[in-house]
Amino acid sequence: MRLLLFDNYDSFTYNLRSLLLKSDPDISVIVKRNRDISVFEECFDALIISPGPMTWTETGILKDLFDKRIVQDKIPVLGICLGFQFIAGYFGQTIERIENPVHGNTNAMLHKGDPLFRLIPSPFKAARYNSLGLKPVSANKGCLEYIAFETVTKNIMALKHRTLPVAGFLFHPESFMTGCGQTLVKNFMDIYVKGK
Amino acid sequence: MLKVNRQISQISLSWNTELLFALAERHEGVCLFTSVADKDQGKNILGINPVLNLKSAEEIDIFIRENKNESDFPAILGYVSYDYKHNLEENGLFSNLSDSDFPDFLFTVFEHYIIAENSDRNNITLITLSFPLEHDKLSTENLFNLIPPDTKEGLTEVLDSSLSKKDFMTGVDKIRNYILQGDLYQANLTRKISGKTQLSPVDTAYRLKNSNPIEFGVFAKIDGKYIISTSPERFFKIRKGYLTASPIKGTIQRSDDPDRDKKNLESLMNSKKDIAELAMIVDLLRNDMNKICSNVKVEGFPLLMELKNVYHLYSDISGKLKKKGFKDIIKALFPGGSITGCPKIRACQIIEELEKEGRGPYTGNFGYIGFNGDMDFNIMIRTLLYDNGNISVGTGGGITLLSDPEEEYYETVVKAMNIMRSLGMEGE
Repeated sequence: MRLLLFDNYDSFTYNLRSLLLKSDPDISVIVKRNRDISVFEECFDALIISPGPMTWTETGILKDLFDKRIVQDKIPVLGICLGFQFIAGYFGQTIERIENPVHGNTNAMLHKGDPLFRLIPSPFKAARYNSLGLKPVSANKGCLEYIAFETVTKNIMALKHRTLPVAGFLFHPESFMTGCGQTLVKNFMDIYVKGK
Repeated sequence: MLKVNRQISQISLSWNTELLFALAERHEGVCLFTSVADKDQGKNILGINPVLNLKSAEEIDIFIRENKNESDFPAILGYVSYDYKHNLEENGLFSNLSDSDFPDFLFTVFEHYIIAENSDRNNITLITLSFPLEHDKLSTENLFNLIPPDTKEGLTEVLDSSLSKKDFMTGVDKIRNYILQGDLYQANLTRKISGKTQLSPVDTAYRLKNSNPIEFGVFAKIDGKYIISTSPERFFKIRKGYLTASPIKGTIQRSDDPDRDKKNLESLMNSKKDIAELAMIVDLLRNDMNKICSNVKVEGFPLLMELKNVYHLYSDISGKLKKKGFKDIIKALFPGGSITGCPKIRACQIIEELEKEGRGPYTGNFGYIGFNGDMDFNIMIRTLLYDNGNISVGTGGGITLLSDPEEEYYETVVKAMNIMRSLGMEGE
């Protein structure tokens, strides 16, 4: 099993790699930065999109990669923070400043029992590093389903695509402050990549 | 192939830190000192008579490979300046701002090393290296007859700041806007205060040392100029293949009044802003360590550091090294996350935009690389550069969404004034 970890020049990418490697010792993770066109030659079983600075449209060749490979080949995708924002933006939602931006602290979140949250209590606590996100009431969800929310503001904290194997977390499973990060990543690997 | 031989001797000598500084002053030396009173195990390391400058991490790794031995000393002593960062990243990410007065990368092998333990004020260890090359030798015969000159009084005045109050406060506002638009979570904004002092380099170092007992001090003479650091912050250490980083975030002044002091301590321990800043940097350092280590663990968060003038919050993060060369380590870790902000690359870019000039050695890292692979590096905060009576001190702080421009500016004043007052500066 080979994962492509798409690095948006972030400072948490290698925490994510460590979390992925711990979820399954047999996988390999290759890290490529978001301007590196050699990703188009890579063979991979899933794409993991790192967090990162700036906005979802400033993620190098990621849109191109989705246009040319991800959607048509139905490659499993997990996006974290900026990765979440990219997925929401790419599939038609508006990313904007949210009330209650949080950086370096945890929030309580509720999930709706989606299999991605198997074995995870609701509410659960997870670390946040974001100023941008999806407003709680989004008139047209389109092809996305929202599966976790911040308890107070009801901001959307996790989403998945209705038909493609694509999911995203706005919070940070790789932070040392997120206790359930390992389980979440393992759930993604089991359900989306290995098809268990 | 450059293999050196070493000779070790124990010498009975009643020593103090002035003597080590005076020896460094006389013989182009570097002294790493520890002055925390209750840390008896503290070790002071002095290298004198520089023989070999290693010009890159590759040269350091080759030298260590050829001279590997079991004990941590002798060691290569030196530093990497903050501005060296553009050599460690992709082309084009950073500009090559630099401080023209001090080299960006300087690591030296000395002819003589003196190891002085704080727990034993009557003995030192002298290690002398012999090199298979021609160089000026320094006889040890009369080395220790040196009598440190009496300390002289002198005044210090502040003349200039690299950023005006207005520019600094505008910088804070700009960082807050960058955070709101998603560019980053935190950035460290600093400015340089320059001035003039009548004090000699040794007196300057001695006054700083006494004003602020710390663990990671430096007195280094470099081409007639000096780096004097009284840093409380360890960047990382390596012992027997394990790396530990110890970032500091969060500072509060101490008070002579015990009630007031306790209140200050409680307010720091409960400060959401400081704990969030530390958490960010812990995640950042875990990330950087995960590039070269396995089994990266947060050993303590938050931990409290009690110094004479201030309390700090910090954390210990450890991991087992997989890549042990200095080249890999420097690429993964430098510059230290606690003085850049997060995410690091974007933070460094914004710092360049707002600070407008290089930082030089300030917020870089001074330390040693032992011939056995052990290392210890500080973060050069509370650090003064001295050139013929002209001095420069960097001061700054972490800016987050919760920062107030006026308060952040005031914090930089307090930090710099703690240093300037100890050098005999009068007034504000």
